[in-house]
Amino acid sequence: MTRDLSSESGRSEENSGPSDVPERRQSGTTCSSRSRLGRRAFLAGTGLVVGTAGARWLWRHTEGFQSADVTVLKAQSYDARLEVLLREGLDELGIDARWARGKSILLKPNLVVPAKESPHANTHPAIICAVAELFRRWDAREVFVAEGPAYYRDSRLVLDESGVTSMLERAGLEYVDLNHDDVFSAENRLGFTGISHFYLPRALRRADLVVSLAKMKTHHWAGLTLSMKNLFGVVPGICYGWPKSVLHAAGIAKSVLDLTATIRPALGIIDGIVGMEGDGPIMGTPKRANLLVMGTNLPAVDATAARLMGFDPQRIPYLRAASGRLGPICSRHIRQCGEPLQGLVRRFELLDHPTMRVFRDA
Amino acid sequence: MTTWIDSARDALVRQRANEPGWGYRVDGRAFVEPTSLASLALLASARDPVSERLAREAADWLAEIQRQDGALGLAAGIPTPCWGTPYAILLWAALGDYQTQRREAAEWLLGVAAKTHPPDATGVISHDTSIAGWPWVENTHSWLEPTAMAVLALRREGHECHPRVREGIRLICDRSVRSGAWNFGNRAVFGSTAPPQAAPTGMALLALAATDVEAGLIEGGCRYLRNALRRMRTPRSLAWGLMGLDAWRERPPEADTWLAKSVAAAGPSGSAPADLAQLMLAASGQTLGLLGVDAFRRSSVR
Repeated sequence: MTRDLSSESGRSEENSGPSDVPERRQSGTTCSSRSRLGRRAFLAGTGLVVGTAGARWLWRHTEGFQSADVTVLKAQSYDARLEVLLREGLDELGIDARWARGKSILLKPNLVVPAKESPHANTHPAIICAVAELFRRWDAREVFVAEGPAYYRDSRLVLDESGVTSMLERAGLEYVDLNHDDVFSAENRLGFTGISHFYLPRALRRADLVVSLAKMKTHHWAGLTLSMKNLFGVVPGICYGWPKSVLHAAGIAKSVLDLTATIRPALGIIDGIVGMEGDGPIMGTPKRANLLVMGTNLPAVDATAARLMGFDPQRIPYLRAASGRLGPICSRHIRQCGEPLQGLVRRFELLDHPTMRVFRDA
Repeated sequence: MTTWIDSARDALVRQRANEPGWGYRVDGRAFVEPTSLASLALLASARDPVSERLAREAADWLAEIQRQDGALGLAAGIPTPCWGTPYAILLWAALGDYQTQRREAAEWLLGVAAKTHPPDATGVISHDTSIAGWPWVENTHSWLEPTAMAVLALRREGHECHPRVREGIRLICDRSVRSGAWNFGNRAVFGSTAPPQAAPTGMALLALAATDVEAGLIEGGCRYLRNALRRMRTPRSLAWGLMGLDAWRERPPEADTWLAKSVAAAGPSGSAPADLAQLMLAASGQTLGLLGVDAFRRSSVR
């Protein structure tokens, strides 16, 4: 099976939101058409319009009747208690050893830069290790770490200089470079971007479960980068480039949704102990939030994290587009487990630039 | 006495995929880039019958999967993207043969250009977005590595003076950060300068070999690499960084030691084919000749 990658990228703007998602035209009538159609047809047509509009309103208001659980935990540092915290957090979601037993689990952290100068840019090695150890205790058949950094083709350098390599060696964990893996073609399950198929790394076929281990960061194009945007690192750079230009050209928000729908991660965990604010995802400054956020529905996880960062999820284009399609983002449809959000919100500042006002008023 | 290069050659020969090429993974199928690099590495390490045979078999395979328009995709059955085309040209040229394949590939490269935009008046993107280099994926923006490799391959094919090559050189110069080093191709975004990286800097210096670009740019790139490579032992960064320094006769005296340590860190059988190939290329005194850089120097002297 062959795919012409270059012909399939959409032409949407970056940060596009649902405004450019094609909507079905409403049926409508005019006075002249009313006289032609007759009273009954007019009433039927009006009813259809009202019904359609009402259904649309209802769908949006209920987010497609979707709901999800998200756990928020306080975590003061990257110390040994992380595994216990994670176990408690997953327990709140009804996830226990049965979830992992016998499974091959791919842990997908966010590793973007050799982190000597900026450890707050990457998912902390202690988080990766704690998650891996927990799943191993739960008798997972295998746990391996996989990432495809978007700005560094030399992923080994990123791992070495961010302390991940030494952690992997101590823990006996395998690392798979998703940028240079063998590839297979998978149908785009959602299709917002107009890309019909994605090339995905072979490692996804090996894994029964994919866990997005994201970092809590602002992002100068997308507003925020959390568990869903983290999935950009799954698609191989040999197919999409460094950075992954095709996805940017197709629209970041749309690409985030399409990849989430296609890859279907089973769990999202966000490292918000020390995140990044300002000029994320790479050049920002550390922001301590002392939080872990986790859940099985990634839009709900990201929406909760957005609130904790002082954002309205409706102002983040990819979250607004995900609402009712991939999951709920409204707080009334998200059951908050663990710590209540009140008192935990830490305002993450955005880059000081006029283009950021789309994500939050100054 | 067996050197690491001998062991690496043996490992590379064993790692050949089911097709007459090499993959990104030891157990993976053949892809254009690692196949070209591995073949070049075998030729660079020893121009013996084994190297010639394996390199020619790889070159024949590349010729088989070459598209009708002259481009090469990633692998058999993956016709796009085509950023690997320059690597195939370099292998074919190193074998001194495959004239038709080289000509058609070069014509395709000359005919393709990355997407451009008017220069960013807002200043968010600091590089000149109107210069057309080469993209990773067709119909997308230019980036450093595909542009540098395209320039290198096209210069190898004698297109030094072609407007596309001159434009590619202009793009490489425009994308430098802090007067001389390079990264994936972003100078600065929203006023923040992206950090330089060793492999793209090395590729840029290779592509610019024996050109008359601003001397400060070259000096800055070499200075960055001389400092950065002291601590880097990952194959990709170390190898391309050293090849870039070689292109400007700036090879550090410790280079061979660094290369040996890089191999030792993974062990020859534990390294992926592309990693071994890159290290072998950086170790060999024949590489610049195979890539055409020696010829660039000779023509620039004249």
